[in-house]
Amino acid sequence: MNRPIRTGIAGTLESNDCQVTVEPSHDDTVTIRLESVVKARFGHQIEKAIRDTCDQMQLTGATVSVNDKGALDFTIKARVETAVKRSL
Amino acid sequence: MELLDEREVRANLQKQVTEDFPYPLAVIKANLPGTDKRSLISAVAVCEGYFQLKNKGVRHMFMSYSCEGLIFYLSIDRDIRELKKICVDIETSHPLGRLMDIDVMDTRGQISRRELNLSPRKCFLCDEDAHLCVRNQTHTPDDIDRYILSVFRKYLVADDLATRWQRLFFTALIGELIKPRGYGCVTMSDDGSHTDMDAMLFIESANTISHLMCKAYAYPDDFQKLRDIGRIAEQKMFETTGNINTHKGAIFLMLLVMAGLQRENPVAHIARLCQNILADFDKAQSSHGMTLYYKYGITGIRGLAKEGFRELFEIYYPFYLKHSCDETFLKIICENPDTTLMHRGGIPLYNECREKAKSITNQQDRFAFDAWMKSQRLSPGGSADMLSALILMDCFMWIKEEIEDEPTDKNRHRRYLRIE
Repeated sequence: MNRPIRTGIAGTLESNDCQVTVEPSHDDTVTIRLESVVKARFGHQIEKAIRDTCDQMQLTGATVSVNDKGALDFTIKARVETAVKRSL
Repeated sequence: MELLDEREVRANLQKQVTEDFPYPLAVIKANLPGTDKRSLISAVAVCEGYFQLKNKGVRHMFMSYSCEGLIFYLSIDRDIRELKKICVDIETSHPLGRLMDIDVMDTRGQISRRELNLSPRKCFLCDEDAHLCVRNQTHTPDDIDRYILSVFRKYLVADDLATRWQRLFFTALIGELIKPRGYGCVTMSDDGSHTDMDAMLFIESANTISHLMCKAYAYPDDFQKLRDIGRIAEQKMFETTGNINTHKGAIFLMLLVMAGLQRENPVAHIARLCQNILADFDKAQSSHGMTLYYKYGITGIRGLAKEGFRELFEIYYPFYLKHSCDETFLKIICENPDTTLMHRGGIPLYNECREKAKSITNQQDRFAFDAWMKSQRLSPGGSADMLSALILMDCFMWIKEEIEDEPTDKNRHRRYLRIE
């Protein structure tokens, strides 16, 4: 399993992008916090994309905050991956 | 994921600029889909955005060119909210505003439309918030391409003929600058064999001369008038560039092509206009072309003009419609008597260059030829002028077509929306 030891940030706050922050947490769970310009319509889908990426990366003990400005799933996945790598 | 990396690098760069200069920063880039945003349309849109903001109090500026396309960074001495309003206004009212994305920021980050109580940008094709359609992938890439082409066509058509020709000339000159490899010429991404010029200088020069050359549209039958307007454009070009010759050959060539395009038979018309042009060689004047004539009897661009630029209309143009910009440029280098090239390298090196260009078969050869041209400090400027003329002809023929909503022309999509 991968547990963050520092804060990892990736992405930008530009249109069609998102900024992801991965931080260590006190327990073994992964908490996802999502802010999105399209949350009402696509919040569920985006959360799933984040959750899937975290699972694939075997992330544990982390808080993943995503500020989404209308990114597509492949962008969200790439940004989460990079932020996780930077937190390890 | 090159695009995502570029964007992250740029976000850091922007933050640095807002910290280094005590002004808000406006960043002008293309508002287009895709992971490689380099294209003729995106470059023209971003340049237009720059010229809209240029006189608004720019204190510091630079440009970049990557898979994100052309981007201008302008530190502007104005209140940030006022600046954002100006930028939203450009995005809303300029004919290419829809294809521009102008972000405004300071050390605290970007200021949004919402902060000015403005609604978010709408989708290109429907009334939805753009973010929703992007996320939902509501529209097909083909529909979006067609929309972008229709916006650009409307921009070229313009309300009055002088504006139309100014935009045609400007587009042709920018189109030449975005060729994927310069083979020694300046391109958006490198200065080629030159130490005294760069893309920025060409963009400024293109803007200056296009606004003067367009005044010639009403005199397609008057050689003296075309020449007088050309001379004024040339003089203003030198004022803009600090006496560097960016577009002298292009002005001459494109004014004649413009005259030709307005008549039934362009080649015959240009030949008639230029029937006495070789008499120039009897006058005491200096240019690369003149020197070469005295030395070797090479008539260069004047010789071609006297024949009505037959090769341009009958060989290069049909070739360009079926091939990439790069292939066309190489063909012109092989076949066109380029006096800029002769002047810089002398005849033996000029011949060697043409032999090398002829033997190119693959992508690797192209990179090698590009590197060789730069190592020899050669620059096929005359051939680049021909390329501008081809783009001018292509745009002109496009807007001449009566049916605006023609069936999808894949080649046209390629020439205007991609770089090859």
